[in-house]
Amino acid sequence: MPAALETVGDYVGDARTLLQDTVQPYRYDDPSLLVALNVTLLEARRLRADLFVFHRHSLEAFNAVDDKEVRIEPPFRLAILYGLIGHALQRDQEDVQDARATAFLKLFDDILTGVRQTGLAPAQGQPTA
Amino acid sequence: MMAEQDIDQLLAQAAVHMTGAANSGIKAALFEVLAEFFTDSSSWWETLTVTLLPDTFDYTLTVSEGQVVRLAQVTDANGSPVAAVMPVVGTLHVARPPSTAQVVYAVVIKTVTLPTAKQQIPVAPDWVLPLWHVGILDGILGKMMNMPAKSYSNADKAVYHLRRFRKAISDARVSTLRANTHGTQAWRFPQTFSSRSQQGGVPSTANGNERMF
Repeated sequence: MPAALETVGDYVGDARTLLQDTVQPYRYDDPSLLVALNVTLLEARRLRADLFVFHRHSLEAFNAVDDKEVRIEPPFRLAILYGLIGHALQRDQEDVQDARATAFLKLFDDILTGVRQTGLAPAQGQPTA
Repeated sequence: MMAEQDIDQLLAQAAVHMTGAANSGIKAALFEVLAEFFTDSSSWWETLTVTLLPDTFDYTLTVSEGQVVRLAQVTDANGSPVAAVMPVVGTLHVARPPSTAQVVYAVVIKTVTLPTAKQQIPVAPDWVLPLWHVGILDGILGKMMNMPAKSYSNADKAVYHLRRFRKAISDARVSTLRANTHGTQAWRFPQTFSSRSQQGGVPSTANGNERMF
């Protein structure tokens, strides 16, 4: 079984699945998801410098969706994915997306700095039965 | 070189105690812990052979691995002391060069240094983890639990583990001084050269009555 979330392509591909954006033309184009990945890594570096302690050079930034490796330890890859999605969702103005963005960013933060995941919060503004 | 099995066990145990700890962070902490352990316990040393030459006062000391911390003793082939100091770390300075070439033996205390081996594991002697893994683990846990804003941050437990780590350092130092024997008096470097004077350089080191760090 291949390891999960090893490359830029893995992250962007799985993000599209969770964003329900797998059919072209994409709602979230590649450059916007790459920016989301890059800023998520910056934030991860701020919160958990120990994850990058052996990265000799300055933090990597990715500019293409390809097979380039994203060097993150396996237990923390889900956090990067959630952070990427949260950042991407922030560009939308719909109330539901705002709540989902906040939820994903909270998951990102929880995985990196907390002990347990809290799970996605119920979306705000949903019609009740 | 530390055995892979020992390292794997140590990293796994550290992860068990600290949910959310990164492997890279544990390895970075391991380097600091080993540096403190060896520097303060003086338990890792190496004997170097140096050929003294007439009119030459300074000699570069090259160790097989690790970093020289301090000079423990210098003796000649008969075990007699040779007055020498190490004002610059890694450079042996003899007080009186011999009139003819002479082989001496310099014992140096070492600690870990960069670069690390593969997988960012510090280069350290193979006996350290089998003998002192409990204390080393306490050091890692204490240092990492002292870090702010981590899932495993815990100031109270950090104090507990760091206290146990310092105890391990103290025990290692005593074990070294007693040459890893039980029920004996403190082992000493050969005492024929023993001197209480400060004029002779290192010969008074390791007489059991002084701190070595």
